[in-house]
Amino acid sequence: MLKRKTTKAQLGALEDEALISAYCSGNQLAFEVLYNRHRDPLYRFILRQCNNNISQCEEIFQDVWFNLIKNSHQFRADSKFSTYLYQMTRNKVIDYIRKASSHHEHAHDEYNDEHPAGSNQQPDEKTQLALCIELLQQFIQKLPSEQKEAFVLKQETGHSLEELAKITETTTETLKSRLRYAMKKLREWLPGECL
Amino acid sequence: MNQHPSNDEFEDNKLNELYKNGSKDTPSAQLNQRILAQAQQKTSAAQQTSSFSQNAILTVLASSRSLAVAAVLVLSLSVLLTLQFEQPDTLHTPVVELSLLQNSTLQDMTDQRQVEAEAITRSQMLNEQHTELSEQRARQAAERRQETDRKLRAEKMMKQAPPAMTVQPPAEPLVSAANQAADEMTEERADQLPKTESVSSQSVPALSAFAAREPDCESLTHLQCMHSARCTLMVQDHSTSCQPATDDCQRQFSQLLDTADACEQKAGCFYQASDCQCDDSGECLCTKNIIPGCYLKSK
Repeated sequence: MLKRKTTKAQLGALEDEALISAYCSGNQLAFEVLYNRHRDPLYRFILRQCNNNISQCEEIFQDVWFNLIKNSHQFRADSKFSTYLYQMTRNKVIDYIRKASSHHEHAHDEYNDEHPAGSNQQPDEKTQLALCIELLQQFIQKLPSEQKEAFVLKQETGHSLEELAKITETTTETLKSRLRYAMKKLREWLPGECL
Repeated sequence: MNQHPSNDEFEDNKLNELYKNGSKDTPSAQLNQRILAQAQQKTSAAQQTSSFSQNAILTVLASSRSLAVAAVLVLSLSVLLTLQFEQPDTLHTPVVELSLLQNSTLQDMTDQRQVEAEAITRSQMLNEQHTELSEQRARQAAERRQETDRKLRAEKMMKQAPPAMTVQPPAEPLVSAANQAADEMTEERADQLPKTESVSSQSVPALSAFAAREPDCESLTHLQCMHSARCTLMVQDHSTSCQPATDDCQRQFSQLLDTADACEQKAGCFYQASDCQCDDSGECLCTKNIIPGCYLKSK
């Protein structure tokens, strides 16, 4: 058990599993370290899955963490905490998306391989990077949901393909296929100046 | 973030750089505060619960000593009371004095139990006496039966003694009183017999002598007369009298014991059937004043 007066720096060196265990033992600081470690990537993963809908994203984000706080004692150290966290988040997102209007969801699923409509603004030197970033974000939303999920997870977590397959409850080969298609489309859609 | 060289196919540096440059979205400060506050609240509640549990355990531990003392006192008191109940005269402590009333009640219960025990003992003694009496009566009855058998055997021998002692099976329409009277007569005769264990052929002359000493027919009662093979109960002038047998039909024929077949085996004889009722004195009344017996056929 960790002592209450453990510093934030000391806690920062600990693995996720040790931190959640410390929090279950009453160490609030351990939770703060854990939260700060996963807060931003998790938030962006949810935001991308919600088509950049911030209010929906915040609702899901809060629900995920509240649920984690409530059931923190149920976490078993034999699995990786980040896998557990993203699995729980993914399930929440799926539930929210189901509850939301399916019309909007279907509109995104019915994509075509043709070049999606992007900004017609001519990039100059100063705004070219910003334009590429904006285009990438737009094109990510145009991806099929499974490809988008695989690509965003890969970018945000940096997990191995095996871990990503575990989170998305699929095989590694399927995940590779989804990633391959997602990257191929994004390269095709993005203008040459961005790549 | 971890990099995986084995998956270079999925590492596009330009794409990754573009994505990372665009990943500036973060949760709002308010959202962070809410989540951290929730986590803090959970920790505080858990600490309060833990603290309460520890306090409860400490309280129980602190009170355990006084509980133990109280338990010892209660046990001691109960042991003293138990001893007083078992030995009321030997202990006279103030505590024991308090239970005198209960002791008197117990004494009453003990007396009642003693009375019940005495009653049970008396009942058992009576039962034993009754059993002894029953056994004694059974023994006496058995002795009487043996004696009766012995006498019957003796009479049988008398009847078998030639020529006047032939015992025939009893007639079927025997009345119960007649049987009883016959038994009594048999007993009387047997009483006069020498006391021997069994009747042997050597005793037959003595029985014959006894038969020879039989009283006159006139002195016999109706029942004795009908039982006798040498006398015949008959009606003369509307009065019943016992007379010596006058013919071969009447001779050697007991009106009480012999059967119709025994009568009719004799030439010129017929059997007259009738029902008779005899009283304790041996006097008999027969239906229509007809006395059963073996009579000579009239020519």
